[in-house]
Amino acid sequence: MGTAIDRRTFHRLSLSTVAGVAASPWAGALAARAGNQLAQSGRHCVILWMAGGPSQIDTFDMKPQHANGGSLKETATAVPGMRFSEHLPELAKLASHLSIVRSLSTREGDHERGTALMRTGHPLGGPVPYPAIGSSLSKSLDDQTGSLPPYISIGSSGGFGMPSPGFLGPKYAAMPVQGQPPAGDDAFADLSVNNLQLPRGVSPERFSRRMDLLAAVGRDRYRAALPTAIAAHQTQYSRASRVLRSQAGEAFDLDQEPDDIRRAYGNGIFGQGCLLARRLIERGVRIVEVTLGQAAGWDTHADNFDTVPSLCGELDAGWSSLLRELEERGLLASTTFLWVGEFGRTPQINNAAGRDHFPNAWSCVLGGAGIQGGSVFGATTADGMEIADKPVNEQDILTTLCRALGINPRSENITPEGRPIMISEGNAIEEILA
Amino acid sequence: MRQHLSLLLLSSLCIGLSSHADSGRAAEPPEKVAQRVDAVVHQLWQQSGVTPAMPASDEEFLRRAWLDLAGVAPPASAIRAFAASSDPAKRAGSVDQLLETPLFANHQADHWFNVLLPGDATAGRQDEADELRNWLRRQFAEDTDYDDLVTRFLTAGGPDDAGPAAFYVSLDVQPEKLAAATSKIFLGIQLGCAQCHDHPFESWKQHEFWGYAAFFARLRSDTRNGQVYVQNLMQGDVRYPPTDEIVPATFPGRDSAVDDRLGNRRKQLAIWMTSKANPFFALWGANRTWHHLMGRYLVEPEEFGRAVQQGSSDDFRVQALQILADDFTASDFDIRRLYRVIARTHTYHLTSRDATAVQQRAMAAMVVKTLSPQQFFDTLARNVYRRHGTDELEAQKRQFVARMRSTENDPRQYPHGVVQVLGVMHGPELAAATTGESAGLIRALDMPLLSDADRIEWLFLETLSRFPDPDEQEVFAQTLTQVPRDQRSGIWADMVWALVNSPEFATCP
Repeated sequence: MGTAIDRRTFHRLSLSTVAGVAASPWAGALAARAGNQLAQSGRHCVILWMAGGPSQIDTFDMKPQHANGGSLKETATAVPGMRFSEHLPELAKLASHLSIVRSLSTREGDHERGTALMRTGHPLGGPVPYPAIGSSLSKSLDDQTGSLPPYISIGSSGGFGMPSPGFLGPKYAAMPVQGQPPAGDDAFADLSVNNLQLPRGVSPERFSRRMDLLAAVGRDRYRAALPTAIAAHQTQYSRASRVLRSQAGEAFDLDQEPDDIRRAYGNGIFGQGCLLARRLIERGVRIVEVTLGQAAGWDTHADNFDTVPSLCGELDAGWSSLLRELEERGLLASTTFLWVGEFGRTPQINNAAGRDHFPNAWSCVLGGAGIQGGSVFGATTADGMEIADKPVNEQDILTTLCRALGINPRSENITPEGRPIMISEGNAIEEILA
Repeated sequence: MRQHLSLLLLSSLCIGLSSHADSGRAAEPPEKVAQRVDAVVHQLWQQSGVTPAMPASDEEFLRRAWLDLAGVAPPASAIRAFAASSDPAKRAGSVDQLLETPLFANHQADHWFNVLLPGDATAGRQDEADELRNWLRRQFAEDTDYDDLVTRFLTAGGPDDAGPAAFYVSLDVQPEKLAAATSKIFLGIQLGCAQCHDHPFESWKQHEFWGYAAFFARLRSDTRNGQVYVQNLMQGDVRYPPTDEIVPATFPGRDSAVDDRLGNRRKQLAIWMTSKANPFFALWGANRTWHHLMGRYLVEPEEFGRAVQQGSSDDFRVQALQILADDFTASDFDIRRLYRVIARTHTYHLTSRDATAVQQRAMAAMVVKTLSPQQFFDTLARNVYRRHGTDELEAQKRQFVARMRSTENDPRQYPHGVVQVLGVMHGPELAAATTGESAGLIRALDMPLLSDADRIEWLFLETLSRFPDPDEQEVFAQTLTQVPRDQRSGIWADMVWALVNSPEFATCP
């Protein structure tokens, strides 16, 4: 806590000028939406995105009886009959919240194409730019009154890694939160939102003055009918300024959390991202995506057996802490999880002690609200090369996610050309829906 | 289909006849054409039982004309001169002047760029996108007629004619995608629905779609020295998906395929598409130009295909559009003339203040249009930074446009979300607009002999194209008293920030 004006003081100061804009066109919107957001009502979704393609045969669908199984070991969990990697010990205790799908089969083995396929349910290069599922879900779940954007993506490395709103447009894009790795062994990863900080040279008082001036421009111009463009501009600026000056902006300030909590989640971008996800859900954000794997991530073409345990360590700490803390706050009953990447990895081990891309038979995990926890769906053959039982595809997973969230997957969004596109077209996996 | 073919034949006969009788039409003064359009729109008002809005004020009109024709808001000097002028023809005079400036070509290039490469179609292809934009600007600077422009665009090929390549590459040079896009952009026909099944709303059949797509079958993209271009091929066909049969290139509405021996398929397509006998070409060209200036189509896209096919003349909108299309055709598709004619209509001069939805639907009031990212940046650069034409600015403009682009093509919408808004509020463009070093306007305010009221007025004129209201003057002047004299430059910067972030700066009245 230095002597310079820090973020907490900024917020106290800016809140005190809310009264100053009471006479402005902003006041109506602000006043109507003042007060705490209702985090407890409505549903939330957390997508844990495993960038690079997570190895199913070293995590949730292990083959200890087969040579393809490799050197990593599985263990029992709190759910009898459900076994997965021993490098996920905390998750093992929480297995009753998880449903493992072992029979996922898709057809894209390229990072960019696989990412687009899993995120949108459609292959790249289709007739329309399809939205990432997070954008469609946030559009369905958002009631436009929150202080924070309804869809936030944490730690994505950008480029095709960033989920796209497709034809839904920038209004439904995820707000990106950038992550910087920890600066040292005892430090925590730094998560920040672009343009949330005031620019250099703009003090909180100065910012308030700017907002007051803005409120005065055109104050009396629109009496009879507010033009659409003006109204929409005011709405988006209203939302943006709420993020900046209300309580919601401080959601991103992880310094408010005790160090031991921060350590329990894990110091890295993923762990701190899961902690941020909890704070965002508490404040009513609908969809939060957290990425694990900022560099090569899960793309273990080499050194698979050293890298995967390390990634599992991060995954275990972040995900289990998030599950526990949401449950403590009564939020797990309204939060659905999807753990997935762009494809799985080859059961056969290559010459570099690694595994290569493998969309043919892999796993994902669903959990939380609307999902029958403590279950396993589908199976692969003994060598892991093929689906043995109940194959499902990307559309089926996304449809199941919609149903778990209480959203009709067949509801349609209309493209700018007037074409109706369903949110998801697959078959829900009824057996794992609660 | 049958009535379609006969309509084309009939209209080609009619236009053949009328172009002799009406070759005088192209010499008809634009005002006269505008008056004929207004007369029909007037009947639309009566039919809709609507009272038209008042004419726009001088300030409102000038901002609109500058943004619509030059792509930037007017500078304070132009606004003052316009307000002071008592010339009864000053509005027409402004329109004519704007049409002659290089800014018109610039704005047309940006406008068409957004149509041809919507949303994030430019991702990873910045060089090709720049080539396309430069190519477009050259066409408009050279006063290319619309039929020549479309012909050049459709037949572009080879490494020395690489301008339009970005469009082809953004659609993966795939015949079905090129078919859907070109029919929509140049003919107003939503053929895309018919790719997979007979069109649900119009009479286009799936087989017709693939016959049209076949015109784009003999193409591929290529690279030379890092530059992408499109190349014609001697072979190549599309197959009709239900039967996998090869579909020969066939114009929509015809039964017989074109003869490939008569020439390159794209050339044949261009001749057919831009022909004066093709009613869709001129009508849609006029419709999209009307949409550019008015913010809404004269004939809505969903009704357009049917209206042309049925040749309905009971509908006043179709009648008005036909007047514009006929004049466009008679002028040999002179783009500037079409803009001149529409800008002369009384309809274009109506205010958007207090317009009701009913009025807007009947063209009885103007629609407030959101600025494109290019208009926003160019206005900021010319009026606030007071710089233009540098490479650095071009690079900054590209970055801003890339951040702010959307697939939204309805100018009545504000398409940006919270992320973009935060980027505008706290991003590099506003940072540059709010320091004396980079914002020439702020430096210029230091001029002595100006009162603070003068300075506030100047800021409003350069940003919102109008004089401040008394209460705005009061609030702004009040802010100046809150700081000591040596911190006043910060206040001017804050005023610029507020004005640029206001809804008015981002819209065209």
